[in-house]
Amino acid sequence: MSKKPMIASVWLGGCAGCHMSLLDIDERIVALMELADIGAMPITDFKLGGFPMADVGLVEGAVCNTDNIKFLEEIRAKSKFLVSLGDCAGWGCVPFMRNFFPLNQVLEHGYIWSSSTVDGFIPDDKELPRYLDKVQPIREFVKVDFHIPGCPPSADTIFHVVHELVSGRVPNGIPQPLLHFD
Amino acid sequence: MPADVKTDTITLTIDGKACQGAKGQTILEVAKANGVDIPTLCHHPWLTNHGACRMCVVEVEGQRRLVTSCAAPAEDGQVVVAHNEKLSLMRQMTLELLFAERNHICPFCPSSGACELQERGYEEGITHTRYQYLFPVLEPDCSNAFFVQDHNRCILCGRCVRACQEVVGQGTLNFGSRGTKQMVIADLGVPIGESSCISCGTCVDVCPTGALFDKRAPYFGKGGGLVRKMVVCPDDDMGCSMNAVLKSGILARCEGTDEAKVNGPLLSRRSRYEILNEATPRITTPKVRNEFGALVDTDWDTALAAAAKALYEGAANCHCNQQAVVGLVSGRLPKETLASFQQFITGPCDSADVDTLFGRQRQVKRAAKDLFGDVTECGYDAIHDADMVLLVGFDPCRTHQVLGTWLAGKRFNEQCPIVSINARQSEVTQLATVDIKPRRGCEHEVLLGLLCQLNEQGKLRGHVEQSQKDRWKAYNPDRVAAEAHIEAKDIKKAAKLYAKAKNPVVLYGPELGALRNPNLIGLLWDLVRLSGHVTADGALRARGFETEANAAAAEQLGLIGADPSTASVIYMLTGDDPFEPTAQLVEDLRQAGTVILQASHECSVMAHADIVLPSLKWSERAGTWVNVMGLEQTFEACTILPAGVRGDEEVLAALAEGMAKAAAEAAETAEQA
Ligand code: SF4
Ligand code: SF4
Ligand code: SF4
Ligand code: SF4
Ligand code: FES
Repeated sequence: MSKKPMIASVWLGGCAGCHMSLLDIDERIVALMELADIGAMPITDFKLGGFPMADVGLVEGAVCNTDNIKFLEEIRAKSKFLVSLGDCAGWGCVPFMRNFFPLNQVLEHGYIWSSSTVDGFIPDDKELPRYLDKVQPIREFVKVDFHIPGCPPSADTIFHVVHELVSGRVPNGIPQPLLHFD
Repeated sequence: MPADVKTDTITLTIDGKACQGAKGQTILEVAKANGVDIPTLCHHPWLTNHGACRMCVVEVEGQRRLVTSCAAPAEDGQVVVAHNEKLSLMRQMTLELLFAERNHICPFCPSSGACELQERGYEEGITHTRYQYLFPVLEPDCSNAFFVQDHNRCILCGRCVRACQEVVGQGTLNFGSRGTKQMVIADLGVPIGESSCISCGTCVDVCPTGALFDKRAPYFGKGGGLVRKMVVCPDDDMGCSMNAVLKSGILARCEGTDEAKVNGPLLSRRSRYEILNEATPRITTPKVRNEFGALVDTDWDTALAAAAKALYEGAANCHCNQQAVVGLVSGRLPKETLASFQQFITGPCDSADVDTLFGRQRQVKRAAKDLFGDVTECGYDAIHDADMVLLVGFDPCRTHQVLGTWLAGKRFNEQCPIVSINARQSEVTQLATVDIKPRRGCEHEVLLGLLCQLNEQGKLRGHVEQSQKDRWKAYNPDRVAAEAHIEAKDIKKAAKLYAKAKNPVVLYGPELGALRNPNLIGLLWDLVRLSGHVTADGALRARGFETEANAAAAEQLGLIGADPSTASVIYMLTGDDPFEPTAQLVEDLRQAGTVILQASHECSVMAHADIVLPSLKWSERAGTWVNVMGLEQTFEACTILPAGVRGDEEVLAALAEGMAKAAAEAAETAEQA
């Protein structure tokens, strides 16, 4: 028996909503598991460098910091087919809204001025990833083979695309009823 | 088939389909009429075509370049391709560029689900844009009270600019700068709330994206599941109509529709926005005044019984010196309700005193007709055609806003002069070429002054008695100016403008009626008649407007006068009329034995009411409205009644029944005695 295709997924600057929507495929996950294995998900505890080789890589979230870039580059390098999952990854979406303000203003807001903060400061430990000046969709950093828009994409849309891919077919776009940007 | 029709018919092939059209149509129009769908963005059926977005590009055989079908004239024999792979790629590219140019965050956008850019994106199967975002930092303009302009979502299609110019005639919106810096701006780049914008909201209606959106209903007014119902604007007698947009039965907003017979897609600030505000709480429970003088909630049966008893006793008392029952009804209610109310007052209540709240305005005009003979006044056509407008006691910018908007368009686009004679502060001042503000009560002198001038200049063509002429002579500009506290040169200028115009129109309004002087109306008619300004079908180029939406219906029904000053019972059915009682009426309400108020919202009359019955508001009413020109229109109700509220006519029927019962009981008691 030939090996089942491998799916790996990651989230960058996103809200987990897209992965929630992936789980919303409900019992269809059983059908999917018969066709494919899942090698990595945001809930599996792996470090940078720990991604499995995958046939289908799914990326949720926009690129906001230097760690996002590293994870993105790794999953890209290890995935035959990379899918951008959701509006954050594909369009920028909510995280992108910080682009309207200068970075230091955003950080000050978050770490110093927010009402729940006492003696706040902007964390600057060397271990921490650096924020990028502008949030960008993932296609600005790596080649993306397929985009699923939506915030989040509906479970049906995700299932349709992933099911096609693990069945060895590349979908020709997204059928209109399954296509939405919001 | 007549020959001229035949030569006008053209046939072209679009996507292989033979499509019939008429000369002068665009390729897009012919395609649409023949069921061929061509995607568009900047095209809008209310507006001229601009060819800005290039979504509608098609290939035309024999032409090297792609053609924008919304702007290109259809020609006989043309072979057009509207859909193929190349065109699809072009459209995709166009859309992706639009998405990359500004900041589109659909999940965060109030128009998502009803956005034409998004819709086109779905049709073309766009899943992302291949271009780098420009990330412009653009501040939304929230300065207008009713809508927001968020430039982040603007695709510069120019629909708003064209609507503001072509539909509204206001020309507030425009394009500023060029290239990637291009922006829609208001006036010379001021915040829209500080601009010449009149908040008609037409630009919001036509915007294909979320760049212009309604503040009140941003997140429930768009998307699927919307129901649109045409309703009449109840705020004046123009007969304007609009679409009420409902989601799950809840009023989301009002929209213009080109099916509106009088106003087309143009709405006013009042009919689009202010109508949705409810300034005071809704009355949903009947109330009666208790022995301590307080209005307290009660049930329908108790309130109806109390009202029926008061009305019965009031009607039975009519042999006394007092008027028995006096009925006052809002003239914004449907004709059917007006008729039922009239029948109720004249029938069971046995009284002739029934009129609308603003009936006195109509009385003045009726008196003028009695005094000076019946005249036919002109229709909207003559107003649209006019090359000079004389407003007397009329502030359409405040009371008849769509007319006010038309006049603004005439003033600024056609250089049509506007003269206003009005003692009151009026918003029309900003439009007026000559703004005459006489001392209150001196409008008469000003009109005589005008006639005097026209006479002296030999502009009066009709026959005038010498005695009449002698009388006018006395009203020379200096004398009138001194008496009316105005400037003599303004009278001269006004007379000159009127005399010079070929088709001037005189419009008078509620503020003239409020002067209660039929002679003023007679003078106006004289002025127009003697100057020979009569339309082809014999109508005077003059028109009087009323406050009440159904004033004409009330007139048809013969609601011609009520005197509440000696009434024992005053029954007022006001619905949601925002009317404020005059000092005299307040006094009458105080003197009356019983005041019954049937109103939808709490109002100042409540302070004088002994019994309060809930009533309907505009969106809950159905029936017929007759506008100032006699146009009859019928509309359905668009929202359902809140719990506890009963229909106006149902209440009238219940009252009639209650009165019959009270009569029977009285007869029984009399018999027993
Ligand atoms: S696209 Fe929407 S649901 Fe998905 S991660 Fe971003 S914000 Fe969350
Ligand atoms: S305007 Fe249209 S495309 Fe732009 S964010 Fe709003 S819904 Fe999306
Ligand atoms: S609301 Fe009316 S007047 Fe104001 S900008 Fe829009 S179209 Fe023009
Ligand atoms: S605001 Fe709306 S209507 Fe006006 S140009 Fe922009 S997208 Fe078009
Ligand atoms: S719709 Fe024709 S160019 Fe925009």
